Amino acid sequence: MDRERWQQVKQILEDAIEVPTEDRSEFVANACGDDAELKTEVDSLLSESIAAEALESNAFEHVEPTEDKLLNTQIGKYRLIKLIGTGGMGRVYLAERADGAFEQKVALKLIRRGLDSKEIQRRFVTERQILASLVHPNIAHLIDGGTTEDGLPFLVMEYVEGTPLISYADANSLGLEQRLDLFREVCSAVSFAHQKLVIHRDLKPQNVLITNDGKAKLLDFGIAKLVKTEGTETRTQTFAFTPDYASPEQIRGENLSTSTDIYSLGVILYELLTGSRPFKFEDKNIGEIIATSSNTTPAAPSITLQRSKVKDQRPLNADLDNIVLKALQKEPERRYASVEQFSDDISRYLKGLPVSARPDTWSYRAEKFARRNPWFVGTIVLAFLFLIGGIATTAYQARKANIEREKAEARFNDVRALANSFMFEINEEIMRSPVKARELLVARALEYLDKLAAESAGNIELKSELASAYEKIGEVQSELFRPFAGKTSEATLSQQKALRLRQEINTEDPTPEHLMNVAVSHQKVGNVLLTSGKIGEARDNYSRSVDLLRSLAATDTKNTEARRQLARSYATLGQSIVRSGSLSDALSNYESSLAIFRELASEDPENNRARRSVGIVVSYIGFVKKEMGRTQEAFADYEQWLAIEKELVTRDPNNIEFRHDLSSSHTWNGVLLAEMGNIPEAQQNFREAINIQTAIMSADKESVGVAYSLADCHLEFGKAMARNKLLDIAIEQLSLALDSYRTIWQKDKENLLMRHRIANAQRFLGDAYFQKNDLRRANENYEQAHAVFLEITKFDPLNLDWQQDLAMTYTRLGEVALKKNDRAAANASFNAALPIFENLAAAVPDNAKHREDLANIRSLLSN
Amino acid sequence: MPEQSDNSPITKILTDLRSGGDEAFEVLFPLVYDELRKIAGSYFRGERSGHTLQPTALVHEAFLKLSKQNSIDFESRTHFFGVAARLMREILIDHARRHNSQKRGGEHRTRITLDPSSGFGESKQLDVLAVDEALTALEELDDRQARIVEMKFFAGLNVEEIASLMNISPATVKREWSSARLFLSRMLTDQY
Repeated sequence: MDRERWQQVKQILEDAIEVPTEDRSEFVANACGDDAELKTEVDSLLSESIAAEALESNAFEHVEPTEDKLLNTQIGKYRLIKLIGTGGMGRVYLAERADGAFEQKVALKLIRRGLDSKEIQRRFVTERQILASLVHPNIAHLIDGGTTEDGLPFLVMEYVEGTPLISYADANSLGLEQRLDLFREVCSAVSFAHQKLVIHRDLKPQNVLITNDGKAKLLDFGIAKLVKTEGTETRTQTFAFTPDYASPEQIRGENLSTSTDIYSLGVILYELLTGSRPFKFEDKNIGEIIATSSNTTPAAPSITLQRSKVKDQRPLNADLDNIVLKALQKEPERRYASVEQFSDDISRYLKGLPVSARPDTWSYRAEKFARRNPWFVGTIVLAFLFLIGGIATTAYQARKANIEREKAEARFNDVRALANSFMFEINEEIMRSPVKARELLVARALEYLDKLAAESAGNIELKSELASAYEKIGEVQSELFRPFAGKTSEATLSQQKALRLRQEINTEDPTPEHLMNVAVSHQKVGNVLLTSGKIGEARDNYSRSVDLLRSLAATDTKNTEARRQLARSYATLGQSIVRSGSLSDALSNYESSLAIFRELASEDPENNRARRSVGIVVSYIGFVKKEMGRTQEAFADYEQWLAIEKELVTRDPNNIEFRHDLSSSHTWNGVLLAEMGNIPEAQQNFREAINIQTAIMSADKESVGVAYSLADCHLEFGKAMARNKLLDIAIEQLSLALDSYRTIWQKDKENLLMRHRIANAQRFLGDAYFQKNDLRRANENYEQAHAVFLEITKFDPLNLDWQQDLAMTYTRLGEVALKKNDRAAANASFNAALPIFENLAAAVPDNAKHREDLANIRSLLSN
Repeated sequence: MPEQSDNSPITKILTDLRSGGDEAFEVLFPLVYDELRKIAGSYFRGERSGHTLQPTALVHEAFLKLSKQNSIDFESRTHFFGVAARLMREILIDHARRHNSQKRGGEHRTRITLDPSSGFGESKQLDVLAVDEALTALEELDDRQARIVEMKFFAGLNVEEIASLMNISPATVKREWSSARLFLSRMLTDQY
């Protein structure tokens, strides 16, 4: 064949492939016209299938490992005879007893990955013992296991000669009833294992062999878990199961129950009846696999069979469809409650009795999954999910199974250690993953912690670990989801759970350390409450914390940590009071805080952290004084703050955090100087802040946080200039901020915080244009900001700051309308703002700003 | 002493490559080849897990490693994968060749075998050397198709990735692949 001829062949071939099978030969005949040779060529290629399918795999599956030194060597009591398979987990050899004690052929599965730690080794042994207890005529028996000299684990299993289920059924042209009978035999084996609380986790036709005398044998019971729990290598983590047959919860890495096997059995039955699987995940990425398996309802088997190429159409009726689809429900609780029930329903079908499975109802479908977002999860996140999944199941089994108590406890402890290290070590990875993935991770981790917490009674050590974990996760929640008050309230919940545990511990065993933990926990609860705008509750928690710490610091003056925490609590208490408007009260708390921090800093002059705390509290004091109109004093404080930050950067030039603080200090000096009318110096400070952030950014291009701080500098610069009527600079800076926020948002479109920032920048841009009397641009920006605020407040109605932003934007839109002499439109906008301000004032009665806003909107309406 | 990352050879080569020089391609080969072979070697020796899904992972791993050492910028990525696919083919062929000569004194094994031995080895085994030969035949007829096969079969890239690398639509990749694989399949089973 030459190039030209191939192009001709190829064209027809490719078109033909897209034509339904039954019309193909006619299509080819037409396309080839009277060129008989061409037709022969195309037909011959079209009939290819043997290697064509294998080509869909990749080359790696077809190369063998380098010279197999293991053949004919001995592992444990067994001599390896030949390699009979390779897979994701490792290699499988046919082997025989080497000591000749008796003749026994076995399958020896050599697991690729080593057992890295004592703990994991111990778990491997425990699991193996459980699996060895699975003795059933339809289950390939686990005989032995151990580790090779190189530390590779191996398993020895009954060697089964047979044909995989579906190949067997097809090769023997089994009819519908025979297929169902065979399938029920498989069910009986799975059911037996489930009664022993062993989940298979990787059921697929290749793991169901039919022996020469027609008996079903299940391979690899529980092996998937055994192998998976060793997973420490995260970057190249792949599924320890076959996605096409895995339940949605398994694919998502959630807790598994016996129901996951019921799902897999459903897939097998589906394939046994129709010749194809509900979903084919080959070539899909993990995001797509998760989305499809969680959200897409498979076609009824009868429909799939009709569409298929299977020649002898089996008579599948609605009952059989319902049975299969019931096993394939997305939610485990909607599937059959047990394999036995599944099998019984098939039996009822075979006897012509009514079956229990019913079709999906519309209302059920409608409520199904709002989580439609396709998202990509990094492999590390995936590894995390797997780990948590594995752990939770172990915990579940530890609680439920009738394994000896000792074993259960050992497993439980492993789990705990792993969970802790993961909670802490993986934190940074979580921070870098997309919002959707984070949400899932956090939800998973919480589910797991709650499970453990339910079992923590009387165990102080566990309680304290759990409290730390809840605190950690609470921090993650508020850090990651700051813009979602819905989520901050979840963060509050986590912190409150931690607090409750800390209190229980202190009641059971009152020590200064436990008491301090309670106090610090109050502080953390206060922090999340403050972020979500619940000022009064936050203040109560801070006050409580101050009280406890004051007594601790008084009884033990050497307790530096108690004093440090006391200083922090005073400062945070001050912050909550500022938000409710009583500035002088706030100031006195800040001063108490500052006094302690100054002491600590002078006791330990080398301690940069203590020095930094002094700087921060000085800045708080400056801020309050500025608000109180004591501008000169405020200015002195801000200068002092700036001096401290400069000193810190000199002390530790590589500390990015200090540089960041210095930049903030310049920004706020800028803001204050601008308020004082000192524009040149204000601008100098802003530019310096921007320079610092730009330098940080060039060192760390990846960090969204840095890009975002830089944008914030531009925003504050712009706002300050707008207030001083330097409108061109204001517009320039605000536009820079807007562009940066948009760029950041582009990378993570689910990030509501960024949307909020975008809207905010637009709102201030609107203000600048409004002052320039460019009503068209002002209105345009207000409109866009309004649309975003409206959307995000709907998303999260509890976020009071956003409510305020929305109401302010309505007010501005009204003012634009007033300027255009459109009184009706203005009133409409003001009237939209009014109830929001009313709600805000009612929700947080001690917030002065809300009261002012409300008075303002009322006067605008009455004018 | 750490290398001055901006002037690292690989970035320069990739930049040259972008401006379209075959020379650059030749220079890049050994660098990437080395890295890929190192990582591939550890797979062949069974030191890594997950034999089945790995060529992509391997290529990505090599990319990560090289880019960390040499600060390859993001746009060079596509070029990298184009080169890597070709190299993966060479590495795998090389491996298979050595493996065969060790095991069977150089005798060619059957081109395709069905492995019914047990449930563990579930798929049809292909002889990658035979695939390579068939692919060389296809190269004679259609270079673009051969590139697609290379990226898909030897480097494990998916349709979308290939489409973006070659700057063609995924639908086109699918079409090209559908006929290419039938062509190869016939080559592989002809003498069977």
